[in-house]
Amino acid sequence: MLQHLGTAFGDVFSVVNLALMALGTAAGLIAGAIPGFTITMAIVLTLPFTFGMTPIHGLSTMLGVFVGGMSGGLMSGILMGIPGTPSSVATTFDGFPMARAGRPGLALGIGVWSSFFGGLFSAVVLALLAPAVAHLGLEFGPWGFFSLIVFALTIAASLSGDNLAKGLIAGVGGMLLATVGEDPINGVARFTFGIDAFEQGFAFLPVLVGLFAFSQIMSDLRDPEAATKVMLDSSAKAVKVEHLAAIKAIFQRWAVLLRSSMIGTFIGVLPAAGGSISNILAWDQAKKASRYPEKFGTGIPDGIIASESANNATAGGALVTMMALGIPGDAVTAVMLGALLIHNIAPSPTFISTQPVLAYGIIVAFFLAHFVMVAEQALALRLFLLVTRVRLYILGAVILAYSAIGVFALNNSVFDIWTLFLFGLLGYGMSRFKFPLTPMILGVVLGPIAEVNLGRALATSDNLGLFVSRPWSLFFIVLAVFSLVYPWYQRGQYTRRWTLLYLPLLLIGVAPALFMMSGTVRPVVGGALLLFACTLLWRRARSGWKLEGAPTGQS
Amino acid sequence: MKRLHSDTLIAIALLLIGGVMFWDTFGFRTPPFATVSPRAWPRFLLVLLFGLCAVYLVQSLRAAPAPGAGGGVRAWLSANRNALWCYALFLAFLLTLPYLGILVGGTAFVYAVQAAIGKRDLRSHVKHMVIAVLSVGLMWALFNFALDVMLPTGSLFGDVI
Repeated sequence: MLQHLGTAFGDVFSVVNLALMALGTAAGLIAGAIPGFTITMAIVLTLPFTFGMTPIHGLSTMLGVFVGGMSGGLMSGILMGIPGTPSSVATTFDGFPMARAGRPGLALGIGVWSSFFGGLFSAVVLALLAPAVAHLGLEFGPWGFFSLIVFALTIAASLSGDNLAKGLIAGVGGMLLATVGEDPINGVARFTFGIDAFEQGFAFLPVLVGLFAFSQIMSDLRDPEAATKVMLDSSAKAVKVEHLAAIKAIFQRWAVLLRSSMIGTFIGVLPAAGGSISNILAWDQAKKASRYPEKFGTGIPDGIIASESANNATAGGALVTMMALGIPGDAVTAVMLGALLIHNIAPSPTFISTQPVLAYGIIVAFFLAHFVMVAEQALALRLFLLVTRVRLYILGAVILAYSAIGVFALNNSVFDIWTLFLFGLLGYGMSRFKFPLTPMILGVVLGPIAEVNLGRALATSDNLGLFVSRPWSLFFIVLAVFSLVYPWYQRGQYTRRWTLLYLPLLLIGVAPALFMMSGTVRPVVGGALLLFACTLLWRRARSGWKLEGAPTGQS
Repeated sequence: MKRLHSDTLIAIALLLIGGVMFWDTFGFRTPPFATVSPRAWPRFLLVLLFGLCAVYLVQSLRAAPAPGAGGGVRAWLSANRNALWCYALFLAFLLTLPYLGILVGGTAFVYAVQAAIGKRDLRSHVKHMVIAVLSVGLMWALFNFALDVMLPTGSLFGDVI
């Protein structure tokens, strides 16, 4: 590992690579800061530039955009009270009040350095955990991979919105759209309807740009007044970031930083869950664990530390799943996965062992991007204030033209621009009618992988019972079932008694799969989970199945 | 007659689309010695989709329309005016691409979008034209010369650009 890390350092620290990473980070910081422009959009729009680059240059650029985007959202969140990205929603709870109370520099400093430390934590976890998870992934077999994909899609659907049915329809729809074109097993043309262009299927990039960028811009431009206004008035001035005071405040609250970084990393590892969930969860947990929960939401450093460290830590966790298993941890890593596929690199459990220099290069680049992010924050803030003076409709028109040129550059095919247009329409319609986009894009990415694994499983044996008798497959199927039930659990958590059974039944459900696994550790963990479940049930029965009160809301 | 919920219409449309796709699966060629038929996976997904759409349809029939829903076609067109302009102009850009190419067609597109949804005084028109020429020109130069991508030149301007 050390030898590969050393080689990777050499590749990542080249002048060209550093310059590209700096550009990417700056672009990510600015894009993340602009409300209405998401990190996914920023990375998707960066992708066409990377076609002519080497894989490490392209990935370093996109990782810069990724890290920059995760941190950029705090600028508008703190200065304007509007989160730049969904990953910075909870940052506004305390960041904006702190700025309004006359300490914007401290708020920005705490946000930047929390992002930095949270990201570094997850970079270390990534370096240590990714090879171990990849090793685990070799045990899955096609049954386990298929069930893992089902789990990823059910989580995406259950976390993406209020309506589970819409989330699942989006996921299944995405998988169905991925079947257009040649069948990956037999090479037979499907759903072409006599149109020759459909035989090649829909390329990943135009689908992504259409769904995330094109439709997002349409939604932003929809309001005629907002489209013609500037985002910030000309009186907004650049703020001096208080670095030293911020670092001191963070180290005084190291427990909040550590807890939130761990939450962020764990959420990132879960397939399909991302920064939009981790920042709010971490803020909520920090409030619950605090000696002064009533102060959360009034402008205290703890709230900013929790949110920003969690959202950057999520990035590292998501990269673990992507690199070790080839399963995207969220929509952003779905784009990264697409970028790797465009460069003819397919992440899988053998990726780290067969391409160690590239794999460790990604880890080093991710680590380094956080240093670049801190260094560029002041410059990005000035550029952000400039960009917010451009009216949204001008930015939108230019980005639409760029999207068309960018997707054409992939295959030199006009059909890809038509794909962009069609998926832009579809994405706009989906957002208007409240269908989530993340499950669809995961369906497009994971559908072919699911089909190939299902085909392999059935080619090995037509006994469907293997999906429940293989331990990892059973493990993921149980998790998938409980993630489907999760929205009802969440709604009834403080009002319905049956929710008291959710966690114990989940633990009892996964225990058999762990018992079936080889070795000593996993069956012991299974036993511990079973014991914990029984303890929970006993305690709840003793208390008369009493529900705990709902937490007080954020002010 | 009670107005149909938009979710109901979408559920019905999805069921119809699913039906058309299921019918199309009968036309897939089955190679000899295939262990898994090319129809198997799409049909599995379509059955799932039918089930989910049926649930969605029942949910929509039970739910009350959202407040402010309805309002007719005119209200819908007015609310989505900017988006419709952008899509219509992008479609025009795509249809004229074989003739105008990316540079001229793209410039015209960026200018037209700004003119359609932005300010409309003379000074703004000039500004929009300058932005269109500079932004598309820069992108064209970047992709053509820096990234070596051969962008379409169009049949009308093929010898000039």
